[in-house]
Amino acid sequence: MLKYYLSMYKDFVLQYWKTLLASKLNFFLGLGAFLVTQAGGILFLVFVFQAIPNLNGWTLDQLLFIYGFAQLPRGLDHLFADYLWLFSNVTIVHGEYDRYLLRPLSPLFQVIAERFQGDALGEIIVGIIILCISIPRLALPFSLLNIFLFLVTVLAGTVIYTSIKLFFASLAFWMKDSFPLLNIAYMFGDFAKYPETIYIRPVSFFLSFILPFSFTAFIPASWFLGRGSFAWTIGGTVIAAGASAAIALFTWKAGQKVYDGAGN
Amino acid sequence: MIERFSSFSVYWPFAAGVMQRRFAYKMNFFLRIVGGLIQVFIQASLWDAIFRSSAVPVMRGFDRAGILVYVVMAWFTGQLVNTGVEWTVSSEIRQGQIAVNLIRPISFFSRLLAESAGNIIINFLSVVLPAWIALQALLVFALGAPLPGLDHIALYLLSLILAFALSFLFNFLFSLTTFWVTYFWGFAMLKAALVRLLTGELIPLAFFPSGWGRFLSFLPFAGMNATPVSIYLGTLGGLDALQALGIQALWVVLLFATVRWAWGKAIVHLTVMGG
Repeated sequence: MLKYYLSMYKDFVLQYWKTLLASKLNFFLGLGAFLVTQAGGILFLVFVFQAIPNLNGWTLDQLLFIYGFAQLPRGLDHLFADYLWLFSNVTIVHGEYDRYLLRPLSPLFQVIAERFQGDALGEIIVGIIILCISIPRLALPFSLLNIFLFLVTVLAGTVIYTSIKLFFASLAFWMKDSFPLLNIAYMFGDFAKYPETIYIRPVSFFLSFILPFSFTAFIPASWFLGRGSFAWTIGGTVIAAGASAAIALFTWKAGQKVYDGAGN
Repeated sequence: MIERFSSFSVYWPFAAGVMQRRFAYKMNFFLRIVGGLIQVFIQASLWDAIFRSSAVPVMRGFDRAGILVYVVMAWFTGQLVNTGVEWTVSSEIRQGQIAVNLIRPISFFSRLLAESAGNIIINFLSVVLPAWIALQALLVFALGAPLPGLDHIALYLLSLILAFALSFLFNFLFSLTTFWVTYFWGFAMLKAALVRLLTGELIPLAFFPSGWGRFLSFLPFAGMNATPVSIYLGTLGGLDALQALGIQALWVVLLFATVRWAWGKAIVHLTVMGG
């Protein structure tokens, strides 16, 4: 079954590459847009660090590592689950959801497979570049365990991003258009690029336990920087991903039950 | 299009229409504010941590309260300068409404200007003015900072009008790329990210490496945000302020001429496409 879905997904992505080849300019514009947006935040840090030795006890390289880490889950979610934005404000309103119910495939899979968003490569490229710059400068230890944990936490962070989006997109089953809520929730993701310790306590609590964006970057990244316990940083990230996914999928399922068709 | 700046009564209804539309779509309006507040909050938190980490209380001419005012005023100024005219023009070109709008006996350019003015008035009355009063109350009562001088406010407003003109002309010009670029959304996002950087909205120009900041201050972008905000703060004063206003005015004239020229070219292009 999984193999079937994977081969289906591959076909969807191949379709996307064809449209990409049709307009390379559009691809580079979208990629450039997200690249420059994120590069702005990096320039900010670099410029400011000419005036200060450290920020709240974090060095520039450590901040760049956190910033770069943050780009990967954000970018991967953007790459694979971008259609949830359209689901939140178009699919239900235009009655397009009925179409998914007619095909012998999971509706959620169809919604996700609807788009493969190349723009996201802008974020992923920025993330990889600044990780490649900051990791050697920080002399972070390379070990199989660290590489494994890095992959696990990036994946878990992606799951958190997608789950938060899926939760708010699912509200469209009740609200018809949940785009504004999804948009506001997503904006909180911007907080995760910087150390949580710079924010006032209610905000950092909110980012850990309500909309757990801190687990998409700052918390797991701080483990690789030698701060924080294994249980809180790595364990917490995995648990946050599991809990977010469970809540999002539950909401999606409940929404499907409420859905009563577009009528005719 | 530009020649016919007709009477107030012709164009005012367009400004009023935009205001009514803004009230009809409250959610979008609300979103803009929440989004802006989140950005301002993140920037303010960062700057606060930066100043707490700094050995000196004043960096590049800013103290802790000064940078907070800069962040907030840069956002206010953005709200009073960016009208989204590029999205309107681009969507009218894409959807073909531009053909109908060109036939109407009113100037395309003036109508857009009126709609933008409507947007600005709404932003000013419903967001900026109440938030500015709240900011002043916070500064005066919590931090004991003095109220800004009336001369600063007056010069700020003058510079703000020029900043609005610059932003309107630049974005109008930018929107004409719709004739050639199909992925306008991506291109506009790219432009917005660059503009946020070049206007000093994201980082005050004083924090750019020396040379760069000076160079940027001569570009039209600085005039869209950094100039009015610095005048308000008093970091640009006296002759420097006059020079900055002069640079703004010069760019308004240059951009206006470019818009006229480019519009002429673009219209020909449109006719070709329309057949």
